[in-house]
Amino acid sequence: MIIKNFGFSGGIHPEDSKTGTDTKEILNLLPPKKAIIPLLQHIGTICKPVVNIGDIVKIGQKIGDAHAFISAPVHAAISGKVVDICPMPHPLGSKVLSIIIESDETDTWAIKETKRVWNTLKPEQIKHIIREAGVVGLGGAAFPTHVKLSPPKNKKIDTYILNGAECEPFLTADHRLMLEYAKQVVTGLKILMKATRVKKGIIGIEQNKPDALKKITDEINKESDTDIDIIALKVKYPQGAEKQLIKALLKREVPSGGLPMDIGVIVSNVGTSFAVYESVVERKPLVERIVTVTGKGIRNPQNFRARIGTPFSDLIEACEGLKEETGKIIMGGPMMGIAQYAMDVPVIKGTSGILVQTKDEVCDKPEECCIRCGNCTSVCPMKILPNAITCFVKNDQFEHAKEYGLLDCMECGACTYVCPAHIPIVHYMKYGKIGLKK
Amino acid sequence: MQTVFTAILLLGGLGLAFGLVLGYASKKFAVKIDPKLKSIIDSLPGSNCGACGFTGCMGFARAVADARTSPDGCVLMDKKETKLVSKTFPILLCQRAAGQQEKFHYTGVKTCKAAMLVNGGNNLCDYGCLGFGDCAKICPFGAVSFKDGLPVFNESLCKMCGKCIEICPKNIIKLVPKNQKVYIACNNKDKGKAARSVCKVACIGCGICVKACPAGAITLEDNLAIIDAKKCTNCGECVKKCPTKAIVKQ
Repeated sequence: MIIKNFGFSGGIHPEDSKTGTDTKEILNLLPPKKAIIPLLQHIGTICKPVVNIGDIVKIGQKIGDAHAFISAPVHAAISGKVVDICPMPHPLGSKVLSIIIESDETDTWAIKETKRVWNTLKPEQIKHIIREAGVVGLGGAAFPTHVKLSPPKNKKIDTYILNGAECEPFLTADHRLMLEYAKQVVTGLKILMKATRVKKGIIGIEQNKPDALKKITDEINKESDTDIDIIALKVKYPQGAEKQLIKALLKREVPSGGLPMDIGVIVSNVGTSFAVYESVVERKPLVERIVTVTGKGIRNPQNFRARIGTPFSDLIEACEGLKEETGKIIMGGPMMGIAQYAMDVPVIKGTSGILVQTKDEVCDKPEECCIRCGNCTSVCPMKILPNAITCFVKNDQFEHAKEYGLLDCMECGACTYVCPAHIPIVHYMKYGKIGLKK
Repeated sequence: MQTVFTAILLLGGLGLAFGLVLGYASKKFAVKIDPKLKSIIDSLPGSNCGACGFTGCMGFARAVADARTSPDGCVLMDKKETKLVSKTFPILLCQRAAGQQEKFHYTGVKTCKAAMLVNGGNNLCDYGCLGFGDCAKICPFGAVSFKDGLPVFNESLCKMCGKCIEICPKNIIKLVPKNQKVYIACNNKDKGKAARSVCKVACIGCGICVKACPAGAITLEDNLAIIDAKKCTNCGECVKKCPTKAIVKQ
């Protein structure tokens, strides 16, 4: 294990608030009575339904697929009858075509065969299995994994990074996963390295998870034939952002507008690695994921292994419900998560957590004028000028904003967190990016 | 006393001298304007709205003079007579009552376009007006004012340049002929029950107006009534019959 104390410039140190759930074991949540499975849970083309209303489906059966390369199929997460295919509220906003399955409460799997031996598979076969299992990046962005594993031929990949930083405050899903499924996570990385023909692997974990670091190190020490390093990272937000993680681990910088593959690196989340293990070895498509339900507004915070399509209300109920002074429900962490207005939205592949904030925690102060203190610039991990870009976007000068690096912004929220004038900078950035497209 | 006369004479004399010089210069070094261009500029409305696609009225006039575009490119002018006539008028397809329940408490950037990024805005109805006034801000003529959280279009100021229609993220501003006084002030395409649950004055697609219309001008499309302006006689029969008051008469 190597300890690294320096990584990238900028960043902030919010209170990590993980003590509520980091010692709680992952509980298996009961399958919901009714699952709402959106056909768009990833970055890319929306799937087309391959089942009809009235069909009987089993767990793991493919219910939506697309021909496009950048897309990932979706699978039934419960067994039962398809009752409706209609647009339903989606946690990422606006309505998305979804398949609604009513449970028959038998919980039967479509495929239940013996474990697969992965060592003998060819890289192309592994990629095909991963695609068919609908595995996407489980860190939050939900980029289809099989696309990430297929870089263009002229890009030479030399290192595979597994991201176990989990720098978002409150969330402990990845932390618990590394503790309880260390073997599977490491095997998943080995499968991923084989699929991309990469020899060198690195697992990066923040220093505030010493137990996970130890567990993963023990697991690696059992293996003798692989070259996997474990690096303990400084606790800082956004340490788990792809570009910052590469900078911290390898001292390589992704060029502006580029991808990690341009500098020979692929980064995946530990959750993705676990999903890859499950799909390749256990033959299970991505139908469940680990979700942290936490925050000051929840009575009994927990880590759950929940089926995709479970309504948020089911998870909150399993935590004994909300406290009276609840102010905001967020999908994801407090920094990058998306606030929800309805409780009947389903868990999707990218749902790493549900955070419930109390009224005192929610910032409701009006936006004031920029005082040019420069706090946002000093914390920006991408080294752009959020204040200048905000000013351009306010006046619809999108081209100027682009020159100042609008498209480099990854919306980590560090600038908004430190802004003394309560300017919703990230909102301006998102608005600017939409404006630039038109 | 003498000081005063001296000052008057001196300043008066200077003024006269400069006046003569300037007058001479303006005649001698005058920039010649093409009389054709001048007459085109005089006939244009001069509002510089830019809806023709050129940089203001001067840019359009130059393009017409150089025969780069057709003279009927100005949207504010009647095609035959060179007189400022706007035949259509914008209306808002929403009657969201002020103080209506919100979808959520919105604290972000106060523009419609930015609010649209957050779950389609805080209006409970996915089709309705967000009320942050992007249309009022962009109007070059000050024809859009706000009353009870909804935009109101001033008929005498509006030059129908179409900028408000372009900027509205919900696409609920529509041009109707000026002589059409009856219109359906709703754009909700959901089924009746869903539409009613989000707004009291929504068109629920019940079809009563279709039957009530003596001219047969109303049809239903996507759970929403549509009035055919060519057939409508402005009798107002549908306004009386509409159970949700979604049809209005100006």
